[in-house]
Amino acid sequence: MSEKSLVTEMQQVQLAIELIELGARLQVLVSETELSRGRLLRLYKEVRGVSPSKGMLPYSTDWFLTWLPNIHASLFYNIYRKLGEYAHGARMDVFIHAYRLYIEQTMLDGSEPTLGLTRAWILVRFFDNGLFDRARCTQCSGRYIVHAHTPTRHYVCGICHPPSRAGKTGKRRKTARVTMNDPDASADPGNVRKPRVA
Amino acid sequence: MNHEELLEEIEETNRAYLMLARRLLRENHAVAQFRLKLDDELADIIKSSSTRELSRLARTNQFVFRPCLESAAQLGSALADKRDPIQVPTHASLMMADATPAS
Repeated sequence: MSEKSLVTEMQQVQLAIELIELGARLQVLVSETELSRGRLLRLYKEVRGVSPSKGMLPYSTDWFLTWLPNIHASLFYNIYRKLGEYAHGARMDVFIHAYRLYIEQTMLDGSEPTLGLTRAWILVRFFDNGLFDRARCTQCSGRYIVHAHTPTRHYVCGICHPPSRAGKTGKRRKTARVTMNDPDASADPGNVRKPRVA
Repeated sequence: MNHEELLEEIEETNRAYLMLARRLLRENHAVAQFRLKLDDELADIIKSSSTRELSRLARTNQFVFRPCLESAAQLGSALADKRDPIQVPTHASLMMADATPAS
């Protein structure tokens, strides 16, 4: 085999650093770069100063359909898809730019980026695998994430028709604070780290 | 405000928009296209225009750009949004993200 191109490798390291800075978990880096696990671990520690958290990625699709996450995830995904139509570059490039645009908007709104980078990445995979679809809200005609194959003729989005207690509980506020520190570790049963069974 | 001042303000707004559009396109083409909702050809022309050309284009009694919210329903929804802004990103941003580019 020929030696790996130095330029390619540098680009890979660059991509990994960018992803780590934006909050990617190790699994994302392993999937999206060709760097070895060992190198990625070292890189992660150098960039963040701590070891990456262990445990499984949040795998549940349900989280994306709860009220606030759905709005954030839909915003991100709309940006991602549209940017993909404009961009002619690599898929991960589009992903990172889309994620930055999403963060930018939450900053302007003074809201927390409920959708962490790892979750955004999982979301794209769920779409690629046909688990999700976008429905058009019959009131605002914005597009929102729904499970694939759900009837959407009378769909109304969570902003036009928020649930009555939406965003009002103390729990939500507490969750929001947790989310700020580790956006991927919100109160989601799918994200509970199970003890490893030997 | 007299009528001439009004015309000047339109021209100023047009020029500011076109200059910023060009700068954004030179920085990152695709991201700028997303922000501006411009297709490839329109974006390329603005990107390669001189300041003189853009200034000439700006000097008109109409706006060179139009709203990205595509219907009264969308604009109405964006304005009717009474949710706590701390919690929810703007409705307008979500709707506009999906807007079809001008071509």
